[in-house]
Amino acid sequence: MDRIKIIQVIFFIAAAIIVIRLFYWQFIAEINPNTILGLQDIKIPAPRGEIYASDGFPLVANQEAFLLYARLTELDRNPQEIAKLLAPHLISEKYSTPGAQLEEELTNKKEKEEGEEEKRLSEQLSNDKLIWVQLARKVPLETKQKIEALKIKGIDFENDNKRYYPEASMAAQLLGFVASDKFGDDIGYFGLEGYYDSQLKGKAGRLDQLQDPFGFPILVGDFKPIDSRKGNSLYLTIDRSIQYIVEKNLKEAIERYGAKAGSVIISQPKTGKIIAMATYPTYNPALFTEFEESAYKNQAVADTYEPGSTFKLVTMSAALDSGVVKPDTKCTVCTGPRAITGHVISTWNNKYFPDSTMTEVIEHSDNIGMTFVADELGKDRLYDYIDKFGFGKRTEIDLQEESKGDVRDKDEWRPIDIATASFGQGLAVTPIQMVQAVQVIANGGKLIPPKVVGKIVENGKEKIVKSERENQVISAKTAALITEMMVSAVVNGEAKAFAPKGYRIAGKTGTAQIPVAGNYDPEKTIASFIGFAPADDPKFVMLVKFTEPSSSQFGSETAAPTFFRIATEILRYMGISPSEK
Amino acid sequence: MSKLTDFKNKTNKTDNFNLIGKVRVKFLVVLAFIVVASFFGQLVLASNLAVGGQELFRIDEQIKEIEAENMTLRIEIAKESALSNLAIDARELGFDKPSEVISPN
Repeated sequence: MDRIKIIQVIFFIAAAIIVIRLFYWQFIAEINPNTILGLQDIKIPAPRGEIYASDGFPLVANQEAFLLYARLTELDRNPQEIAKLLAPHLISEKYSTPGAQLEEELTNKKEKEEGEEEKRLSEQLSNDKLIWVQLARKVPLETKQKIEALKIKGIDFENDNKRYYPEASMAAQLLGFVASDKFGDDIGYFGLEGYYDSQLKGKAGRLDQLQDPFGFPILVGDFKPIDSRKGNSLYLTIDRSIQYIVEKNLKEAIERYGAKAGSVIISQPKTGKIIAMATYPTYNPALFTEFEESAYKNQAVADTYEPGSTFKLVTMSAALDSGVVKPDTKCTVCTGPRAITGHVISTWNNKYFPDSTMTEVIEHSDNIGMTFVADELGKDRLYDYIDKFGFGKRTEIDLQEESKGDVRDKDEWRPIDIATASFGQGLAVTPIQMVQAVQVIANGGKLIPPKVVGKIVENGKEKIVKSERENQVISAKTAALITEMMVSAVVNGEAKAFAPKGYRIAGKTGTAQIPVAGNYDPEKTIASFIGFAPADDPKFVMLVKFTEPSSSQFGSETAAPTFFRIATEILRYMGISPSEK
Repeated sequence: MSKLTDFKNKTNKTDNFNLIGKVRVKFLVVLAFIVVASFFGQLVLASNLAVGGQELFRIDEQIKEIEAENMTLRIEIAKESALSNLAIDARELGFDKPSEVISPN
């Protein structure tokens, strides 16, 4: 055989192999009809950034979860049968706590929910106009494994990660939650998830890739991957242990005093860092749909209220800083109730202390004494200091739902408004604004806006978040004077019995009536206590606020004991020994 | 009668032609071999790359599995070290809250 023939045979064999191979692909190989042939444009989802406490513990992490779908043309059982099998696994996670014994009421509710779920699934699976239908999102791994064990043909899963909260409802209102937008993409709502959504969500990638009929990538084809970029992680200034102490005490106090709601904020005065922020009633962000929408709101930054006597610190600071009064200046109008343009102002307990000094005015929380201070100060100066302390505008804390409170324009202030504002009525503030204002006193007169995020980590690179503004609102001397008045208010005030022994704590009670349709409700109050410790070198500023406590209306009998209980635990946690015996 | 020199010249021409012809044939054979080898080489390479797609797919799947496992483990660790769980464990072990600050001397 000559060489040409050999080459001819080789070519023939090669051609035959190619033809046989093509025949195999065309007629023999079982190619999945659902595989999209050709160029695949795949969206690569970006993992959402985590949120960590100051000790690096994840308060919000990502958990493996799945999207459950059905390929309707491939189902091997009838829709009703499949719906009955799937429904018990797709009802709320609250029923699936391992080992939980459900009460009768909850059992009935579970059965009802199962029935509704079965109906919904059955309808979806019976739709003959679709070939693919989404049955559930964010299905946990354990549920996926249970459903897979049912071996239903045509039922499948896709990755659909979800948020996990290792500390359950801890700092829920501060963190916010993640739900879906109208396109089905994850989006953060409320708190940090809402405020930092653009940072946390990252950037989805794309994978333009040629694939063979089995879905395997063809490496000689076009391959243009754009990697997804994981969202940035947030490291908070929140101290997890202090947050735990606060939440535990707040819950107990709300139950003890029969309050409708309560908030506690704790910050570091020298840095503006928030180290704990809690609101009760709270909710579980993993099961947010099970709770009332009103629970989502972070009352510590969103609620406005009339601050009552805690605001006297602002008025007195302004007067001391302006030099119109001194701590030993005597009140010349404190002999009894005072009438101002037809309105009668009295003290909270109808006790009057003629010739009391400014320190005693704060100790007694004397409304008449404060009207005297307001007279000395005048409208312009009082208004300017209220503005300088940051009231009537947002503190710019990095949380989504912050309110700016309500301080009327200066032109609208009548003499009675000046008088009532001096003791914290007729204007609305937020709890975080009050904390910012008392931080000024604890920080030698400097205002530093509060912050919750300490650093943002992007691809391993850290970006420190710092408050950019720093204003000297009052002089350091004024701050020292008002601090001493606050210490006296704790030592000689109504709540002195609850103060921990040996510590110098600066504080002030507040009991404000709640305005209802132009008048004040005679029964309902907002009781609060604000202060800092240790008074000589403040490590924390704390506000405790209760809405409508029922056991007592007064801050000195509800908020103050709670403040001191929490303060005692924090001082011990921080290793701060008593300074006095 | 032709001259001896002319005859010699003719012989030389034929020899030259044979030499060039042999070189050309060899060149063409080598070229053909290279072309055929490249063709088959590319086929083999392409085939290997196509099969390599399966390998890539397998590795990608393995990466996904390991990442998912990591995620689950991280969650388990966080669950175990959550303060609410630690507080329960501490209580069961007989630990109590500190009643005073203890400073090392």
